[in-house]
Amino acid sequence: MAVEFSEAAKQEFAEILNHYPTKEAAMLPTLHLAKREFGQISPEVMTYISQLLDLHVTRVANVVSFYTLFPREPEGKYVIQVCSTLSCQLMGAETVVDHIKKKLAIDVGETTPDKKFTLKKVECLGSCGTAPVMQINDDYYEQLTVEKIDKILDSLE
Amino acid sequence: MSELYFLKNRGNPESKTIDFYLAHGGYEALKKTLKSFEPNDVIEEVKKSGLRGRGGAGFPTGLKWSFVPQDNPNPKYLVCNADESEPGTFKDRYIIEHEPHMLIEGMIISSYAIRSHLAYIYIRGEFVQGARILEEALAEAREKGFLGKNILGSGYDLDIYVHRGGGAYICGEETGLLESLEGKRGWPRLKPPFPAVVGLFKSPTIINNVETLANVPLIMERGGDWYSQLGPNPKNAGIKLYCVSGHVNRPGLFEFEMGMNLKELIYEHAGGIYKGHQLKGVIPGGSSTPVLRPDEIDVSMDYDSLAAIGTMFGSAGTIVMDETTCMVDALYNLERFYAHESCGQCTPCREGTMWMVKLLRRLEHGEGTVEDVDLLADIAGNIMGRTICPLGDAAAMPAKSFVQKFRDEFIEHAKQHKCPVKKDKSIKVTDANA
Amino acid sequence: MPTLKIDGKEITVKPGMSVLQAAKKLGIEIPHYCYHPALSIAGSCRMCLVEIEGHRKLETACSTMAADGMVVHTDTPAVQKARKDVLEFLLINHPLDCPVCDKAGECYLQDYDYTYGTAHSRFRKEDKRVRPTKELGGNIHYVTNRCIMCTRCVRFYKDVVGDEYLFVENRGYKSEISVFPGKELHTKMDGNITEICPVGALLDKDFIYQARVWHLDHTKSVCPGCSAGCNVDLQTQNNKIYRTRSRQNMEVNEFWICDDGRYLFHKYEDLTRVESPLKRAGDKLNVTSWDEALSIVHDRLALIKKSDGAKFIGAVGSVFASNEENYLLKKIVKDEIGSTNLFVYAPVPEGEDLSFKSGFTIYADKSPNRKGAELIFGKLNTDFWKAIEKGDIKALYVLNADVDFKLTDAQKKSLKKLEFLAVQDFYMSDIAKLAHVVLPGTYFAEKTGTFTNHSGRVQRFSKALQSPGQSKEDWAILVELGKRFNPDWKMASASDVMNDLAENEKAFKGLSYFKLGDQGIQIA
Repeated sequence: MAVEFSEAAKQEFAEILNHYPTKEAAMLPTLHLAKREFGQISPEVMTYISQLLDLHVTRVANVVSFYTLFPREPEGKYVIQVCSTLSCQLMGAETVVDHIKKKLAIDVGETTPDKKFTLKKVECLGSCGTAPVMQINDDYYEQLTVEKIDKILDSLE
Repeated sequence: MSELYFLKNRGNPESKTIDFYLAHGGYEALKKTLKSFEPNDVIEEVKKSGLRGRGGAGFPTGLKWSFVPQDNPNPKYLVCNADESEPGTFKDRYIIEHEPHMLIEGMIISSYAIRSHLAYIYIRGEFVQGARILEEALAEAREKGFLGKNILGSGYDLDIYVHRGGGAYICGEETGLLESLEGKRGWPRLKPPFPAVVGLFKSPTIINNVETLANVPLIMERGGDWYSQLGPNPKNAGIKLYCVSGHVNRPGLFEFEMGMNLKELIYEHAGGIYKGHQLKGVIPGGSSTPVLRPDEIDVSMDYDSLAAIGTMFGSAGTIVMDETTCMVDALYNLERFYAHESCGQCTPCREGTMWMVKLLRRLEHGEGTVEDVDLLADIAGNIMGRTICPLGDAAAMPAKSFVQKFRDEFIEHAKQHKCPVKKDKSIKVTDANA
Repeated sequence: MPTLKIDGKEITVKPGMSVLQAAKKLGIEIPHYCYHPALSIAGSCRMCLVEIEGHRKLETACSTMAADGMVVHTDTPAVQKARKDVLEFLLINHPLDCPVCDKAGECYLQDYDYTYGTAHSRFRKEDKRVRPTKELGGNIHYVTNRCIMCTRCVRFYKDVVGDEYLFVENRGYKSEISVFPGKELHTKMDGNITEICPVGALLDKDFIYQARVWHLDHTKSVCPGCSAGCNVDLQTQNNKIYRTRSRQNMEVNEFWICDDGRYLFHKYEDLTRVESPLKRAGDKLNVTSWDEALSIVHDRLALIKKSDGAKFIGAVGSVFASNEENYLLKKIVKDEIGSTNLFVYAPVPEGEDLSFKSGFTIYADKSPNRKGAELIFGKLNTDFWKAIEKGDIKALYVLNADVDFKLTDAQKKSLKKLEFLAVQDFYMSDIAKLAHVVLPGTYFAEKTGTFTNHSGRVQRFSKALQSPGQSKEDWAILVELGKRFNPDWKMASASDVMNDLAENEKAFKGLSYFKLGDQGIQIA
């Protein structure tokens, strides 16, 4: 399977390159773009990006495997990331995780069989004052309660 | 300063727009600066203000700027560190999402001061919303002529771009951030050379925290002398955003002059301990700063006062823990964070953080021994001061301080072969803060 | 020029030199893993921490530049403790499988732990990190559990090879070395990472489980695989080469050898060796004695000289033969027989030189001694075929040492026109099969001599193995033959031959084995 950016993404990529004096510096923005385009950063995507940026593919793999936001395998349509670092834990993050596990009938790190939800426990999301907190795809959900979680998850198509 | 600066528009959804910002005196400081200040004069003004880095290290901002060698032929860069990730800290996100122009104006003035024509905002990857808001605000600023070529007819050019991180706490460390911005893994660099001399793309670079830069318009507007009068003393001057999280009735963000009393912050402004519980411990300045016992919190929150009692002001990310908190479990949680965020480059941090996690897991599960408690503190000591970047110290300081301040509780875990604390794992969101 | 003091000893060094390098100059070893003199500085293993007066913390000696007035201590209690602590961290997850590890005996984790570490572990009840062993491609086997993440191998590809095959995958505690799927190692430099890996993580499958390193004997040699003249260490046991490793020579190969050279010794193992002198009887070559074989050669050449004239006798030297061998051949043919028909077997190089980022080059010229042959014979006359075809040569003496020597049918036919063909070779080469007399020589590992590399550096290789049967070092065969023509020949060793050569050949003037030492001498 040959991967390639859509026309819109190609334009966006060209604009990204204008922001930096080196092509390599466009790595993270290009990976974010690729994640949006392909949903994952598979080896094929890494190869494609290495060609776009004129880099040995290991440079891309080195970067991808360092950060948490570039999944190397497909994930669910909605990726639920529950913050589990201290402030959130103090405010009940474990109960939040347990509730979602029960509700979706999956364990942490798993994806529902319909590929709709992936559940992850993550480190500090930087929203400690409104703990407990979770992020679903791009959006933060703060001051969670069981009722709020149910409402949020039920509202996702 | 009786009126608020950062939080003055709290609750107003319009605050992030340039029209609102301009209507309330925004970009006046920039106009004044470009009209009447030479770059070096800006540096002098900021030096006078006594402003110290709000990211955690507290290094004097004006002094840092003065390290940029102006005879270096390479371009100079300003990088805004918006990789807010220190557990307990959530102040920069507020500025980014609600007062983006305050940051942008501060960045333009600061770039002018160090003669930079290209600046970046390195924002943590999870802040997607924040990145969007910044992009929009930058577009507005460009539209109004505050960015781009010949800003406000001054002949000064500047562009600012938003750069999203990829999910790594270590990229909040200056040189890890630079590596990441250059498209590499965030492995901190050996220092020297320091970024002010050899930084981004091998060029002189200043990295400042969001809150630090957002202070700059205020300083230029009212003057460094005026700013230096705020707070307890000129060495700990200015205004500050305080973050309070954990077991308090009203967690959240507060703005005061430097030197707010920690006890007052918790008991008055943050509404006291959750449900009237007893206070057990306070981490004053973000997760890496040494923990305090309840009898130690009657202290001025500023760099020097907190250092004097063996902890740090850090990012002013105060985490409050009540009697239902198991201190072994809390430390276990933090060390798990540091082990997860260790970049893996150097030996003591890569191996030591995970060893501490393993020891803490065992202690918390009743499988630890009294010797393990001392071993834990010893390992922390063996990481301290031996690593490339401060993450090693950041992981070691909580371990050392938790064991020192709550030794009895650690010992009890070993003696009773179980966790002796009645933990409350329930979700604690009350109407007061919902 | 900064002057600093290390452990009380003062030294002045070049600006830009690190504390670690300055200490080394003073003979003070500062232990280290990630530092390697040919690679960029990582400063990550933290093993080389030292105390510098006036500094708040211990500093890595590898990354701290020597500065004027600096006072360094490398053996204080704080430094000793830091080393112990780093070793403890490195060892907690290490499998401690030295008894089955090929690196045992030359492992820096083992050595440093004995020297600087503690005997017991405080990592008592925890499970060690366990990860599967990986094949990285080529001959490289990666024992993940033994890796200490010094990243020397990663930097080797980046800094020396210039093609970044290896990378660090994942982060923190889960970091490991990887190749990208489908981009496994296949450069000609891969074997070097098994040498620079300070622990048992990167192993050469060609050597794995073959021998314990402390049983191996070491012989300083020069790789004959191309004209680069890489310095090598032949490691042998029970008269067998187990592995070839690079031998440092900053003027030639620095710290590296290519895999062609590394595994070249296997090529000799596969050849059918000539173990006794042979003489032709019709279609057959029969075993004979050295005395008879040399007599036949001498007598036949003397006879042709007498009947047809010296010019009908030719000889073929070789760009694969040593300086000493070519010289002796020339001496016999020119001085003792009086013929000027000196040819040289010198195949035209195919393809192009292969250079890597550091400048390390594998030369297209696969002969080790073309330059030496040129210095001894002058312009290389390679066209003995025409002379044979025209009948200008009736007897030919051929030195060969090329494992790839092949004859075409036409060439075989030409050679049959000769009245007499003597071949000195170490295996049953195409040309040896056609000879009237075969004199069994040896290959480079079985003899002593010198090669002159592409740049004109004369370098010595020494005998590492006993040669099979009655075969002899080639210089000795030629000396024996020379004596048949002139009993005054007194040379009794390769060193004597070099002295004679140095006396008679302008380019080699003044050289001796003593002067050449381990690292050779540039003569051109």
